[in-house]
Amino acid sequence: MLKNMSPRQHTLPYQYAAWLVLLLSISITIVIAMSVRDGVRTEAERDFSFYCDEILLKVQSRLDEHKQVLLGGAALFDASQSVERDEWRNYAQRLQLDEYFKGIQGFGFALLIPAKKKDLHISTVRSQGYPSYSIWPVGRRETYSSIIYLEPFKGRNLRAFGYDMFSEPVRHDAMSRARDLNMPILSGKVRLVQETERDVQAGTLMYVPVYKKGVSIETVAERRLALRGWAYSPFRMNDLLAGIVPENKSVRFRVYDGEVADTQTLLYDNLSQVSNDNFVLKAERTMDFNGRKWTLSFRQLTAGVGGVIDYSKAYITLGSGVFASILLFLLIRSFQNTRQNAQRIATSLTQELHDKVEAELKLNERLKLQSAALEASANAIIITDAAGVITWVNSAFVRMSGYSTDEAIGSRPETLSRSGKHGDYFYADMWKTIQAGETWHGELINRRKDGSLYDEEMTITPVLGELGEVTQYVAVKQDISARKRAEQQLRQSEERLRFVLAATGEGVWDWDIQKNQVSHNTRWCELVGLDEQAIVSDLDVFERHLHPDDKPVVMQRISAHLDEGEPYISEHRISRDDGSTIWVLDRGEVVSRDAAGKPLRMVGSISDVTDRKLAQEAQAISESNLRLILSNSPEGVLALSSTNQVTFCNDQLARMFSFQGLLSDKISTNDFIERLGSMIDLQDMAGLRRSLSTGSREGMFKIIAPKRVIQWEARELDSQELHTVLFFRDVTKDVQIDEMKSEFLATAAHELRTPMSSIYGFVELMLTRTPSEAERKEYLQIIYDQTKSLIKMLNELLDLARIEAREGKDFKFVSSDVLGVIRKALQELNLPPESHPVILEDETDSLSRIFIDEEKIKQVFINVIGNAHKYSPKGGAITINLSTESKDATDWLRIKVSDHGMGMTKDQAYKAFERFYRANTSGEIPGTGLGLSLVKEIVHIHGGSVELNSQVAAGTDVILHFPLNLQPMKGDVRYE
Amino acid sequence: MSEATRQAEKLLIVDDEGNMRKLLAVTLGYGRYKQYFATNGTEAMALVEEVRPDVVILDIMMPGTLNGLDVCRKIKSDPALQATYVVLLTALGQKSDREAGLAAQADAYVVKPFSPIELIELIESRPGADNRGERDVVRP
Repeated sequence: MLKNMSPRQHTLPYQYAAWLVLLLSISITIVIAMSVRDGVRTEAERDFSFYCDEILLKVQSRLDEHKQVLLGGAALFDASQSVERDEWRNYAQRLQLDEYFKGIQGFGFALLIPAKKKDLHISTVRSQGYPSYSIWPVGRRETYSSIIYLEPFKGRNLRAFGYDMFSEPVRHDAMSRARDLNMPILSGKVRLVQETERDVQAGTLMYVPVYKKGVSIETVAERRLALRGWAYSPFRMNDLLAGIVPENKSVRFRVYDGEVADTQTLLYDNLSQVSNDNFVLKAERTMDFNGRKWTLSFRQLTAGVGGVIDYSKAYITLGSGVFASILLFLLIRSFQNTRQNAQRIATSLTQELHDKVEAELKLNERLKLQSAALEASANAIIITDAAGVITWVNSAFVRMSGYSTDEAIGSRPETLSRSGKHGDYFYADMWKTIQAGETWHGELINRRKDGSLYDEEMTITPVLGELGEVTQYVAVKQDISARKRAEQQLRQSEERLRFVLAATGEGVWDWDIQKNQVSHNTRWCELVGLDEQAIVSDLDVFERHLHPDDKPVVMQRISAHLDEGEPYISEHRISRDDGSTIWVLDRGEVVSRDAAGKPLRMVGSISDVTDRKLAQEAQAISESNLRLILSNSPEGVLALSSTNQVTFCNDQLARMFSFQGLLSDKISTNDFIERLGSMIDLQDMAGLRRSLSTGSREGMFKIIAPKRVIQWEARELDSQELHTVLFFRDVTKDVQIDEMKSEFLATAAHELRTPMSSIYGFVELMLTRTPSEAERKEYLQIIYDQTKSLIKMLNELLDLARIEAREGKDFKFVSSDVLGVIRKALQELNLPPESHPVILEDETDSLSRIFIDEEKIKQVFINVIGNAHKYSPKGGAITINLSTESKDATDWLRIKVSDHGMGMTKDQAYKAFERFYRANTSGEIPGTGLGLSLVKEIVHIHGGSVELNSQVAAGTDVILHFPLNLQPMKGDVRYE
Repeated sequence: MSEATRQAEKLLIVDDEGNMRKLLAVTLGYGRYKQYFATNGTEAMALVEEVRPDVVILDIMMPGTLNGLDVCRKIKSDPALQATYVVLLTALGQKSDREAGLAAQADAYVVKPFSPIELIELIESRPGADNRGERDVVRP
């Protein structure tokens, strides 16, 4: 059948055809016109060519004519004995040159005159009646020529009389050639002597040789000898060629001398006045006159009547052809249009018909759809007439009511379904409404065929006719029994909920989001501190009671639930009306949303969690306190879980072992030990591993760099996370002190043993042997000395220990004169003055009073001066020098004790102040080795310093400094 | 065997302390030994080379480059001095000191103060000691 086709499409190819034809025909026309044009041009060219040839012939014949004239002139000479002037004149006149021979300027004879005959010749001619005759130009030449006859002998020609043409190169050339070749020769371009200033024309001359009679003139040499002269004619070119090319301004005719065409060689130009040189055709011809070539140039000019090639034929062809094409095109188009129009009409008619059919179909479909929709509706539909009699029911109604379609149609709805649950007024009201043309909507209880009752929601819509009267009623009914049941169940469960809530003591809120109304139950109000029992309000009550700090978070949580469905569980504070603050746990959920998913209703409950919250906070505080304490602990703490993961470590641990990120790296015990391993001694490492694996409780290991000793203890706990806790203590210092103590004790013990050995040994010997009296005395002396030494050592040890322990706290500082103390010390020492004289030098100007403990300082001097004495066994003076000194911005009292004894080495001097160090252990010099240690301690506590200079075999200086200020300060020992 | 045939054995006493040298000299001065004395390790070694003593009593703590342990080791590593009996006599009484002494291959390690009687007993009952015949009645 007819589909959707536009009328245009059919004729499209035809439309193209018309244009195609047009195009084609125009093309053909153009082609033809072009060929016509070409033909025209070719013809024109040909015509032109013929023309040129014609002109050439004319020129040649003209020249030939002139040649004949000259030949005649030469013949005259041949025919006569002599030719006199008047004879020449007569001959020339007879020729009627002006009439018959255009262009000849003159007809003349030039005589060849050898040089020696010149004068004779001149005088002869002069005598003929030309007294001013002479040959010119003057000058000595070998041969002369002279124009002796020239007709017509007037006007311009007079000027040529006597002219020696042979002297002029161009003429000479022509004349020579004529002579040599015995031919008429045309000269090159010359300026004729006949020329004046006016109307100067290019000129040329033709020469015909005249020879002596009866002489052979076969060869050039013979000719030269035989020459008498020349018959010649001068030509003025314009005059010569005038008329050859008619005064026809369309053709420019030029003649050039020779084969080169330029202004130098131009002989003749027929349009010399005209400057326009545009031409359509051009041609050249060359003319050869006995060796003289002339180039004839022809230009068909564009200007001038009839001057252009007549292309009119071509134009006509073109024009008529185009015209014809257009006619053809239009014809075809009109045919097309007619056809198109016819088609268009046909198509539109069919389209109308088509549309009509479609509309009808659509209507049918719609009707079908409608009835199908009605039929398919889940809602029951009854259509009654105006009286209320059922005319149509759908299958949903059948299902709902239990009545079949046949049973229903023709019956009344109330007859079928009246349940008896509603009074008459109910139905009367219904009828009144719908009879008035209004829609009735409501709920009612109906009865099925089988007698069972069901709830129904019904809408009755009256259908009005054209005049506004009711024609039909359409009732749409829905069984809402299920819904009714659900509503009831909901009511029941809500009641149950209320009971439960009342029992649990939780505050309840119910938020109608659309209306922005919240109902709060009694308990809620109680919690919040409101006086009312239970209230319904807007969200304001809720918001008002939120703690200001918590409010933003809570509101954000609510919107998070509403918008994104995040569960709403919020712990926050409520500011009660009585001013107190409680913590509540508020939970809620959106329980109904509309079709678009927008929340409609949210319900929730709050409970008082203040106690729990406070407890939590307290715990958190105590936790953070503990953490703080732990992190400040001087011990490193490491906790390991039961699965050997590190669960806790404090800052000190990290610092102790320079670990970073112990916890964050989730390392195991083994990893920890590995990390340790890089820092501690291998042996210690093995020991540590063993201890840990055997469940040892404590141990110690050394860290290599920096050198430290770490003591560790392990505790086992019950929790999984804190299964084992390790405590690390840096005991480096303690260990050091211990070591020092041990060393000291060892050294002390060792030192004590030495005298003991002598005592014990000698005593035993004395008991078990019977030594002589002398021997016994010797032994006893040794015992005695050693015992004394022992006692001294013990005393000094005790002193030292006490001073160290008390740190000078039991020193009694008094203002004392040091010199006096020194004197007392000397008294006690009681040195023999003969061997060891003592020299006291006081340079202090008696300013040696300082704060000192007199006993202790006396001891110092006893030791120092005692040493000076002891170590000068060969004797020697001991000098004690007191002076004051200013050093390091402080004033000092300086005491120097010098001896001239055995002195000591640098090494000995270095160790001099060490405990128990004795430079001489041979036994010759008594001493405990503690003397200088004691001195050092005491001087230190006084804020002073002691130093020692010595030279072996020269002596020793011991220099003490005491500050001259009031308060004693700690000093230090310098070695030298 | 008669007393006359018994050769005097050589005893070297090394201690930097004069009193100790005296004590040892008296203790072991019952005529059995020819006594030599040195005050430090270097002297001791020189004498050892020269005299080839049978018994050497060495103090450990002495000044100089060689202490008693060094001397002991040197003696014990010399094959020609295999028979020499070396006693370390020292105030160093710690277990570690004893071990060091034994490590140096000393034949005996005696701690000061010592009983002279016990020292005599020790030296006289050393292996290779010629204790056949009478000893000095002074020996208790």
